[in-house]
Amino acid sequence: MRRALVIALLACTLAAGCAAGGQSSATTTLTLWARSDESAFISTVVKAFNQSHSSIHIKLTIIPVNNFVQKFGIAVAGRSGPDLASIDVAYMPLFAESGVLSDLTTRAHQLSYFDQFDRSHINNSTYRGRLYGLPFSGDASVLFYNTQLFRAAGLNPNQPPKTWAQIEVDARRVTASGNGRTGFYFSGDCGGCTAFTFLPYIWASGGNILSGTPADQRPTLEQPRVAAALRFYRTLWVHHLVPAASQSDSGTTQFTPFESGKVAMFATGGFGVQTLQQDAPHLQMAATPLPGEQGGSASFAGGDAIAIAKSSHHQQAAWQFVAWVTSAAVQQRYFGNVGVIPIQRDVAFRDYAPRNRIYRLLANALYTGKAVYSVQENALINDPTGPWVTMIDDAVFAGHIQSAITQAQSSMSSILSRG
Amino acid sequence: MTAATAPTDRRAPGRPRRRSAPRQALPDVVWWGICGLVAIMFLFPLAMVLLTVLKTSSEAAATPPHYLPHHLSGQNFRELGDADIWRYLLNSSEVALGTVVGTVILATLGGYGFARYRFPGRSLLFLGTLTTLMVPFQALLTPLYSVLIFLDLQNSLVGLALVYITFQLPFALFVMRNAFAEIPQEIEDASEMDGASTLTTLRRVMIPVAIPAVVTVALFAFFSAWNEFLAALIFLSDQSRYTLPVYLTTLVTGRLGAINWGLLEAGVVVTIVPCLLIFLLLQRYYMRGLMSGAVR
Amino acid sequence: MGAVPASGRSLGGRARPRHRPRARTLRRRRALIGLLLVSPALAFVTVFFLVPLVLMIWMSLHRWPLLGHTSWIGLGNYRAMGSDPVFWRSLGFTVEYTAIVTPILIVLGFGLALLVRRRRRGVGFFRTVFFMPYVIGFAAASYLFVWLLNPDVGLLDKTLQSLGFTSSPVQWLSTRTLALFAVVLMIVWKTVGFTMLLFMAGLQGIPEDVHEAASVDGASRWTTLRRVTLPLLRRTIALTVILAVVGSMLAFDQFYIITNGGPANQTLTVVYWIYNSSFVNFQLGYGAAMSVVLMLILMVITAVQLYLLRDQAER
Repeated sequence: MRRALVIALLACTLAAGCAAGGQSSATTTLTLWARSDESAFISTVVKAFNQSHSSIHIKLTIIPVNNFVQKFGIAVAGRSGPDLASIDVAYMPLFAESGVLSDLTTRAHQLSYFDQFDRSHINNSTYRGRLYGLPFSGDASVLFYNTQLFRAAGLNPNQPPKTWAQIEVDARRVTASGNGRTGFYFSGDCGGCTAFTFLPYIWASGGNILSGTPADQRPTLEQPRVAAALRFYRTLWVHHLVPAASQSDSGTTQFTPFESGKVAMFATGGFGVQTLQQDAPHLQMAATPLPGEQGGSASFAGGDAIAIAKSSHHQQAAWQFVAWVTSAAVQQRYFGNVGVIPIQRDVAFRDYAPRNRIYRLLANALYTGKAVYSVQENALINDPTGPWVTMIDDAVFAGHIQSAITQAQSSMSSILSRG
Repeated sequence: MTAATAPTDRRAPGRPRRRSAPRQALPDVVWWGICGLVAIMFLFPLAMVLLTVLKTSSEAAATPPHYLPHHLSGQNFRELGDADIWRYLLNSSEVALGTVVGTVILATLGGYGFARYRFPGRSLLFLGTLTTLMVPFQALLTPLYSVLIFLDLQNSLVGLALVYITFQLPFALFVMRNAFAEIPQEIEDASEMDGASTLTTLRRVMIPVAIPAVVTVALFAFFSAWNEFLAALIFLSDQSRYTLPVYLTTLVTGRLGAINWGLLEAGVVVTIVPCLLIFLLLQRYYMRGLMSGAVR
Repeated sequence: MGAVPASGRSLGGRARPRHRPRARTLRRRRALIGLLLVSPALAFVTVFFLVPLVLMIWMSLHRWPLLGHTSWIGLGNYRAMGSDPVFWRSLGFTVEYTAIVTPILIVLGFGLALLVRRRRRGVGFFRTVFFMPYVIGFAAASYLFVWLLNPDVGLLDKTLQSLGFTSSPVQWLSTRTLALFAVVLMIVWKTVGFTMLLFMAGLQGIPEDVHEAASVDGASRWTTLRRVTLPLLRRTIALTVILAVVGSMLAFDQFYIITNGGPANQTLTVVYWIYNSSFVNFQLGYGAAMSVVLMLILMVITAVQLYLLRDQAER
């Protein structure tokens, strides 16, 4: 009796487990996970691949951007991950270190166009000298400004700000021109956004937030450039040069203020350009590099890497997709053509950059850009409860710059020390 | 449970008496008024959601909202059907059923063993099992996750059900042991005299008498498995294996940040209606189980 | 309540004739059967409870990423907790939430129990209605309230306005206080029926003549309640307090769904932070260390409450 019941129980649960499986054909089916930000172009890319390859079929799954790391990490840890994943380069150190991705070093170096790849991307996908992902899509941060508002405030739209002081002056002029206009906007409660658009101010002034080797990293928030950059944002906030919505914007409504035509300056990247052009086609805008305190410039080189899961049973087929999608022709046609910065230098500068001045600027920003390299990037920067977001909130909106830095420094050290 | 005698502050007899036994404290009208008002507040959310899911999806998203649907519409449920709600209903049912069956079997066998057999370490083992209640499973999720990965049961409905069974066991064992312990020895002896085996005795004689306890255990297992959220959120990584509560999270992330309210609340209704129906049908067992468990 | 296990009484073999060797074999046989009967349950408890319990402590002493290699760091994770502001903030918030929810549940639950404890026409209906939300899951109830509380499409604001309580929609999730209030509202709606049931059970355990006696002695209803009923209910009160406190200290679903920990992460609970550390930041070792601390806190709370209860009973 008991055996019968146990067997019944197992049978019933096994039936459930097996119901999911069951497919067989000559074509190899590969699963590809991508984050939702990319949905604009990635389905076209996948469709094109499927049409031109009869023996391989890519099945695309879009994961909400805020859950991507978590979903992918848990899935690969449970050996149920996809064959291929398009991963934000910020997270590549984490996954490269963890040993769940295939080592692509040898195959990558055999590609004729390997030297064309963006170095910052390659750097973030490398762990202990081995390469775990190839550049897939590029993005970089620059400062956009509304030329109409510049003109209305008596500013020369051909002379964008080159220092923090100039940003402040211009923002004051626009805000003073009335009609509910404000000079500047940023998503104050969004770690990813502020890493992308605020960190470059620190870099451009010669500062940094992390030092040391990946295995032995330390936060360096107490160096003066960080405080200076926070003070810069604080000044903009205190003088109401930034809309109040900034404080609680967790990124979901980041484009709205600039799209409304009431905000003069707003930093974003290639993805942002697409969104802005789509939502507010009549917006007159231009772009300029994100400046340092006394000049100079920097940008955050972002975008995605394409990686193969070590657990995939179709390494060869997956590599075929990787090689195809990073090739010059595909990068030009399906990336550059839709406004995504191609990750091959020649394609970016020959096909993409000449289209307009913003694209040229973005291409430059990508190929000279930097990124955060840390296994704990998510906990340090992106986590909405993390030290980076908390520091910006405490310093910029509450004004406790020194204590915010001290606390973030200690909490980043804590994150890097624990596990 | 024994209501311990307490100092009852008795006063000396002979004091002026009030009118005796006004225990039916509140007059009917007042009582009905209060209870009715509270009942309206309790029913309000459920009634409103049941009405709203019958609106068209544009009406359900109207600002300001109105209480009654202008047109009755099955649109939200049709869309839910298109969004594969059946798959998640099936997932939830499988996990709940697996948990119920597993819990009942293990608790019946174990409860019988603890109630009727003497073996070394019996009370220690029983108490040990009960202390499981002291450690909430929320605190054990991190290591449980590692255990499930080790057993290759992560992202599996089976693994989830096994975890649910484990955390139902202390209560279920307690209830079953008490139920079996109350059955007179003679009944069992008579069966064994007839040469029936242990399991036959259990099945033919003991279980039929203990059916109310079995129903209680089954109901508890069902509700907890059907409703559990956190473990399912962590242990299931493949959307096609989500249970209903976790599936609801995917309904919120609508396109362009706009939530399809009608669809989301239709999902909520599909999730809660089975619970409400089962509760209304079997509430006597459920409430009794809660109370007997409570007054341990 | 008749739920007292009659251990010993029912154990077979005692009353039988003493044929020594046969009795011993029989006893051994029965011991074996007993062990066999309980072993499946014990196996489950071992694999899915004891092993994780030990593993949790072991993990907490390691750097234990979700993926990749683990390494021993001794008490490093516990030290890191000290300098982790998020942990302390979440602990403080969880305690605050618990301190708010528990008394509300006790008072309202007791009030409802007084209202429906006696047989009366319609009482069954009201009992069912008050208890019904308890069987709904936290997740579904939370999504129900996400909609109900929404200032644009939810019906709560409309009702409040038409009753004249508010004049414009309330942005329930915009501030910490309002968000907390919204969650407390949902939790009370969903769980107060359970507290009511516990008190009903407790009240039933009080012999009717105790009340009779008190009222015969001329005690007012209020005095009877305070000096007779409540002292007799202290076991029930202790039990409801323990259940409410433990449940609230472990709160996750409602905050994950309704407030998302916001605004600005001011409604992040301990379990939420453990979840984030383990399964978003992949620091399983750190998550395990916080779990150990949470487990100890809960055990201490329960022990203290049980101790206070015993102390009172003895007096």
